Amino acid sequence: MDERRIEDALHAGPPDERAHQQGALARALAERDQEQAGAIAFSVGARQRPSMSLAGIAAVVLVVALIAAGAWSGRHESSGASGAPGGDVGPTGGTALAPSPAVSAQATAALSPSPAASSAIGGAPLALVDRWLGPTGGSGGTGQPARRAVLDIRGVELRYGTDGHSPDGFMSSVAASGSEELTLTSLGATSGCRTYDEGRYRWELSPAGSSLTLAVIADDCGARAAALAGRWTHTACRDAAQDCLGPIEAGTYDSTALDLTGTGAAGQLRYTVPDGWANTIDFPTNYFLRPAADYRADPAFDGNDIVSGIYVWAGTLAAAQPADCSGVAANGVEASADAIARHFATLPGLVVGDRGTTSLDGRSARVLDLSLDPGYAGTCPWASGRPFRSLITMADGGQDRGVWGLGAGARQRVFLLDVAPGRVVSIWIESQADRFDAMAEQAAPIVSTFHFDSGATGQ
Amino acid sequence: MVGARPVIDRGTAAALVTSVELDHGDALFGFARRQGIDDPTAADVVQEGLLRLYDAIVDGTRVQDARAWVFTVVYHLAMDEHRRRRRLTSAITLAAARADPPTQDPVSVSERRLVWAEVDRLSERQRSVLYLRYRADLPFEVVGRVLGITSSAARSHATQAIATLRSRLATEVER
Repeated sequence: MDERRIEDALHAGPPDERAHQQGALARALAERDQEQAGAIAFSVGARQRPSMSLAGIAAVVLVVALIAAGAWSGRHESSGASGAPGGDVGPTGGTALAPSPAVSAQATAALSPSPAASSAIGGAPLALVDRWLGPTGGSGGTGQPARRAVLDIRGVELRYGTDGHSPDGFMSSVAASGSEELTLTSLGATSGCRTYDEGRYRWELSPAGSSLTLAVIADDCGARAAALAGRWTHTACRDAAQDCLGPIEAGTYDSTALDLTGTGAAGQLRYTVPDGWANTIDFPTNYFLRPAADYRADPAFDGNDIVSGIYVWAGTLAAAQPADCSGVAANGVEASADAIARHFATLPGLVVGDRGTTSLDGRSARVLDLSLDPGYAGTCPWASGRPFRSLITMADGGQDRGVWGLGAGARQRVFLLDVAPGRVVSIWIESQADRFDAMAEQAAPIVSTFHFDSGATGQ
Repeated sequence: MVGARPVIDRGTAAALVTSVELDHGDALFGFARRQGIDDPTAADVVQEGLLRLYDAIVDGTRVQDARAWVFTVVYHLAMDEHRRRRRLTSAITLAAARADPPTQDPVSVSERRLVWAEVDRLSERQRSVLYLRYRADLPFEVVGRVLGITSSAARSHATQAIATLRSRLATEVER
């Protein structure tokens, strides 16, 4: 490799480098607040112990008084310094101090007795500060219908982006202008808005805070109103560089990046889950749904090293079996559900249980149960010498498309279905063998809700 | 007034630090990771670095170059953490049995993986210089300031490191 190529690779960075989770300062300040609040809570709790001595009680009361005075003083000083009397901090005021939603609820509850008091911190309400994936009704000022939209609410600031472009559209300051109401003010003449265009929105969060609905009350900027109105889903992806949803509440969701049909449209997979599931990857080639507990416990940075859950692969092709297990399509196996199912039955070491066909979203799906023969010893470079059988590769995976396969000790149920000429979707329910029956029972009702759509439907 | 500290309110300080975080957060995190500490610790180190910058500004410390300042703090915190743990783990994890998302980069994912795996085999100093110079895109003068060495020493480390990479990767390709 020449020097130029090495330098390019250095500039590009490690391929699996995780991004920084923005909002670290806000989290740090929230933690600091929480520590103070925790000290108060502890002290108050201790004061109620009947066995405590009077001297102890007096000491605790003194500590509480001192901390409370400090907390009040800190807040007073902060709002006073911003130049906004009465604690209402303007767009560039204290909102950058807003912690992330998870931390904020406790911190605010401890220090602020009422919702009105918490919103006096300024900027967006704390529960809204983060990234949201949302409706694709707007164009983000590009004039083209968006396929994918993200909304970054960063405390004092809101930004909007579409289709993988950096989110710098509709850059606006954010202020909580009332109970469940936001005021947005354009910070520049971009995306079809003029500087200082003001918009008022009503917001509503789902019970667990993973779904945000924005309704327009009034907005000087029509493009912003068209883009922001609708339902947004919180992204709690462990891989901060990606926009998978992470753990989700019970409900119906759409994929955004997954490209089952090769059309590039958003929302090609719609599904319904009960509580306790997580969307752990949403790439054009693959979409994963896993039990949220497994996702949280997974040791990998992106929570996807352990295989347990439902795995959807677009552009499925039967994999060849080169010694290095690279992602090469098998010669002579056409891209159809039937052909791939037949091919699996010919692979040495693979135990195939044919479950016939079932109907998924009105389409016929071939269903197979797969496991490795205990005597099979073939392996792949990443399997640490343990048996592994490559099964599929992906038509859209590019140069490093990889393979999906089956390791020793695991079981799979695969649904293969044709979604367009030459386009096969494969849906895999997989876990270690001892959990497989339970996993299949949990996953089957979710898979039965799968709806495939080649057009952008929004959320 | 002589001796008076500049008055910077908390909101302005937070805005300044947030802007540093938005622009350099990824590089700070990646830099901390390449010191051989794990993801959660690297995230803590970056968070602590940003908080210290915020406190310094609020406290009236004259921070000339916030970017260099916070990289320096993160470097020291990461090294402290590294020394405490006395272990170095490779930051590279090979993705098995899953496809990488399609990339627009002219350099392939395999090449990047190969190069950065070799970077992890370099000395700590060379590794840091390469990350700061190429990934974080800092000039050698700032790289030197962050690591507490001269800019010419930083340049020299980078030259040696690139030569090592070129030699090792040539061997790798021949094999």
